[in-house]
Amino acid sequence: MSDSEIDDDRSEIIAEFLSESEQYLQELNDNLLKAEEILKNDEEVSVDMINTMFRAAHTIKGTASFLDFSNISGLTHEMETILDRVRNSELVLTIDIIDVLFNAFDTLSSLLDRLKSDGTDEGDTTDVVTEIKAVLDGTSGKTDSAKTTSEEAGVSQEKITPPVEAATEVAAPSEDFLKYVGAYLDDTFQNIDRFNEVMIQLEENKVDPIEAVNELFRISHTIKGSSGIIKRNDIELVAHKMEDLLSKYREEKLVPESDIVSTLFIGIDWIKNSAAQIRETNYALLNNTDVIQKLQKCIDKLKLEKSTKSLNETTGDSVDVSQLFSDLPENLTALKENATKDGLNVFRVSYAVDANCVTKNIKANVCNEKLAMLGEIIHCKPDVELIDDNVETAVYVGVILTTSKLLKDIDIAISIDQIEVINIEKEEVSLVQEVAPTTKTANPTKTVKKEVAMKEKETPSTTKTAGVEVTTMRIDTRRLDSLMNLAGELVITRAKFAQLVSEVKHEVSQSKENVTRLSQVGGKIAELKMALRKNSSQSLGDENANANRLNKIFGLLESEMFNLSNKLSMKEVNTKLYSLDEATSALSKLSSDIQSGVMSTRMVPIEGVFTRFKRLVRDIAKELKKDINLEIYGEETELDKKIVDELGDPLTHMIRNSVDHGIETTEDRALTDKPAAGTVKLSASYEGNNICIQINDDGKGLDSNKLSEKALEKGILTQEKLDQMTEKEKFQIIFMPGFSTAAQITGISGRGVGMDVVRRTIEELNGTVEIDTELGRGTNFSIKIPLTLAIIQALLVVINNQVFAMPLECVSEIIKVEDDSIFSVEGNTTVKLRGHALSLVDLETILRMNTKSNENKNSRKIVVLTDGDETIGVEVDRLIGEDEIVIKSLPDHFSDVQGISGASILGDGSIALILDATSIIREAQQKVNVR
Amino acid sequence: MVEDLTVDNMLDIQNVEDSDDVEQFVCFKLANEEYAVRIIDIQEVNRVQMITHIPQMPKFVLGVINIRGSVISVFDLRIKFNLADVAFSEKTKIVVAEVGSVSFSFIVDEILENIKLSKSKIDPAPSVASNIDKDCVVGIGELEGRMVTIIDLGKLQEDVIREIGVGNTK
Repeated sequence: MSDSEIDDDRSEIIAEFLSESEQYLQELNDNLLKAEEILKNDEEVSVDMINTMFRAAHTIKGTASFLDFSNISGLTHEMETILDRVRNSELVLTIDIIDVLFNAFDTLSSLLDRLKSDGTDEGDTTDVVTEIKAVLDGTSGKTDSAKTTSEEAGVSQEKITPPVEAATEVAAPSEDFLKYVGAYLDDTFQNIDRFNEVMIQLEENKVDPIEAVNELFRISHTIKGSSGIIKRNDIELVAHKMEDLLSKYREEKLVPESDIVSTLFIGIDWIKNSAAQIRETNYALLNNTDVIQKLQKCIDKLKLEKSTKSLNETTGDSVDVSQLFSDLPENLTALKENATKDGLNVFRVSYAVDANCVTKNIKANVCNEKLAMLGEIIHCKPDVELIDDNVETAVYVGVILTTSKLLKDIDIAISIDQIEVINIEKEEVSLVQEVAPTTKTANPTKTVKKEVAMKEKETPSTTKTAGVEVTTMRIDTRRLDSLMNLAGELVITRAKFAQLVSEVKHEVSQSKENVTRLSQVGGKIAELKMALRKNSSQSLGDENANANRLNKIFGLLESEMFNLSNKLSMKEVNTKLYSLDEATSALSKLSSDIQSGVMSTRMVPIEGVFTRFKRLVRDIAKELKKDINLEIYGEETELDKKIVDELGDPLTHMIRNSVDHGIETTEDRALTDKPAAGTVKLSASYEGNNICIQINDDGKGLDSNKLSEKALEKGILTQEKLDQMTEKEKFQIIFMPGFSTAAQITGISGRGVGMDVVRRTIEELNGTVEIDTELGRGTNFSIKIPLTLAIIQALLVVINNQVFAMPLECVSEIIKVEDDSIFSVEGNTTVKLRGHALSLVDLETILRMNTKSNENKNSRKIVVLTDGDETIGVEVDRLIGEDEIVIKSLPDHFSDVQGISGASILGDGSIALILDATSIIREAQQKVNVR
Repeated sequence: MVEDLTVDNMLDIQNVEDSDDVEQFVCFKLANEEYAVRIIDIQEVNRVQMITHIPQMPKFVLGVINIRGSVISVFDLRIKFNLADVAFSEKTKIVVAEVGSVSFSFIVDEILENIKLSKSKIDPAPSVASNIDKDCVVGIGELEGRMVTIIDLGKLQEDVIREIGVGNTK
């Protein structure tokens, strides 16, 4: 997988899709060539090869259809259909068919090339599709899938997006563009996601519609503004139209009708596509005429309604504020420009003097006076001097003010009794010629108003967000990655320190022994001296002199001994060692703090992924005409960004499966006691060091009998094997390659090849998937993934003189077993553990290590490993202990090694292999089955 | 503690006139025969250290070592090329290479000098002269009467991948 640094969004998926497709194309090509060779030799092509090709085509199809690349998905669907028939022996693979597949393959390659170069999958697939259909029709009319196929192809033809053409003339990327495009894309994608979310909430009546419209308006406005900054007038224009449309609803405080909502969806999708294009190619343009027309139509329709309405109520309270600023004198522009040059802000202030006020003239004058204190009033309409106190309605005043003060100052200044502030907006005076394309229908005053940035318009919300504002900055994830690595190194170095300290301690304790021994020797010398003294008192002359000399020597020896033992006791060293020990534990704390600190910088809420699914579920539900609610819980749960990125695809697949296969059709639901609308719950939560993601549907549930039948039918499993399987194991069938329960093949969740990919992806993240299902009541998938990929708690053990790390996550307990409690059941070594049989495996056999330890022991140490479902006992020679280890990936040479998920560097610099419990258990089960 | 011997300070590079077709090679001994590899493919030369065995691999794959925090594969070319076995000694070294973006290392019995050879001095490999896979051999160079087999590490790496069979089970 590519180490993409950018936010999870469509363009990232496209990039991933492309790199993935390359791999699959290679596979397809290789296998087609091989198959051709085999056929030429009159031999039979193996099912495995067909499966591989089928999976390749299917995977491309799945992603392409999710990304709405109808040409690619249409073509791969056809390829897949052929391969499926071949696989099911409904079609005999001939060289002619291989030729057709090659043609299809070539077309597919060129479509993908096109996608790579300009982000669309434009291209003519009709010839190839017809060719494939001919093959399908010519050979089997029995199944109706050919019909389904053509129908689907028909549908997909309609879906083809309009050709790419630059709608507006835009010059080559400007400097500003290149400078801001990164930030622009980040923000825009975020805004798009938010927009979609609010739209869906609005559609489901989950929010206050007025608030929602306000927010949508703000988002469109922001997108418009930032698109303008990078000079993408095409996007700016679409956003502008959306803003326009929304502003109507905003002013009228109305709820958009469903057709308006769809149009807005079209608009935001167009913007999303364009933004994705920018990310892909940096400056591609999409045709926006269609979208603009659609949006304009809605706006026009509304205008019509409004004008008829306003005719009916001539003296309504609602006043078009822009009226106050129409017919501006010519010299005003110059005044504004001058003010802007001087660094002043230009504000449009509109207020109303209450209808009940008896001194309207004075009030208005006071108000203007207050404004004049802030700056200079360069325009006022109507003239406040001429306001008549006797008018019975409210009086509206529009003022243009140049000031160095901010919006809120103005707001405070004119918060006067009986004065209602209607609007204060900052006018962005552009000193450069405005180049925004004008539309036929836009009237001049409107255009002027649209130039005004309304960021500060929403005074209350501005202050609200300011309160909770988090100061953030963008950091290249590569920097974080390298920090992460350094933190990992720190953990290793700390371990090294700890080891050294304990080694030094050992040395010191040995020298302490030496001191004791030395003092013992000293004691002996003292004894000797005493004895000598006794002797010398009885001797005379020379002997006495000798004794004296000896005595002296002993004395010297004694004091030397004392000195030596003093030195050896190393009081200094001891105290230093004590400090070293302290420092090391301080280092431990620091390093784990740094580690968790760095880790937290990589943590992002899973919300980004979850939010996408609202749209996904809505779209699929509409397509399938099902009524489905998506409930999301725990979207604030944070986990490593890398994992969030990787999780997107498998989750998409699972949700699609739940919506497509899990939830029954509305008619079927009506026959049960369930509510008409199906519910899919998506939740995330922490469980210890793991994140647990659950996908729950209240659909029909998995039927183990149906699964078994299907597996038999497809030849995935034998009856014999099925008989041995427990109910729970049977549910796992859906994760097997080439399996599906959907009788009807749809473009949405395909033929079930996806689930095995889902499981593989999750296992690559060191995670597990579990199924819990009840027939007729629904299915619950729960995914468990470690919070971070980099550092784990592990149990270090020695097996066959080699150190291995077992993730603590997978270790359920450690037991000691006496030799005589080990039994052999059907050739498998087992031990009784609390009444249950636990099969024992030796790692040498499972990992296919060349050497084998033949230590003879009476009692064995067994580590019980679990993958959540199954448990298995692994015999170990020695336990070292628990430690925090940094996961390093093994070189690519070893990517196929079974039972090992990575490596870790220990304190002494040596490498320990990390055992992969899931794959060890699987290997062990296979071994058992073989026996 | 393993002392790193970098190519730069370990080898005294003779100053031969620089010209385009002259390339630098590191010479080493494998089972009493002399071999050479391009110096630009070599990252560093280390003393032998603890090698962690990896299961399910052909015999010539000894396992992995820790090169300053990276986990690097170690190959024994004597086994790969079917050469005589030589016991590890003080002179035995681990040569770390980086070809493309792939790093790997291999055991050599002794590091010899650093040489410069012009392309014209390299003869194509004779078909039967060498034990080792012809694919990996660039040619035979002659140096003061000694024959040096020049190995292409890129080809070697491809050959290794083929032999390990990475991706076959996927």
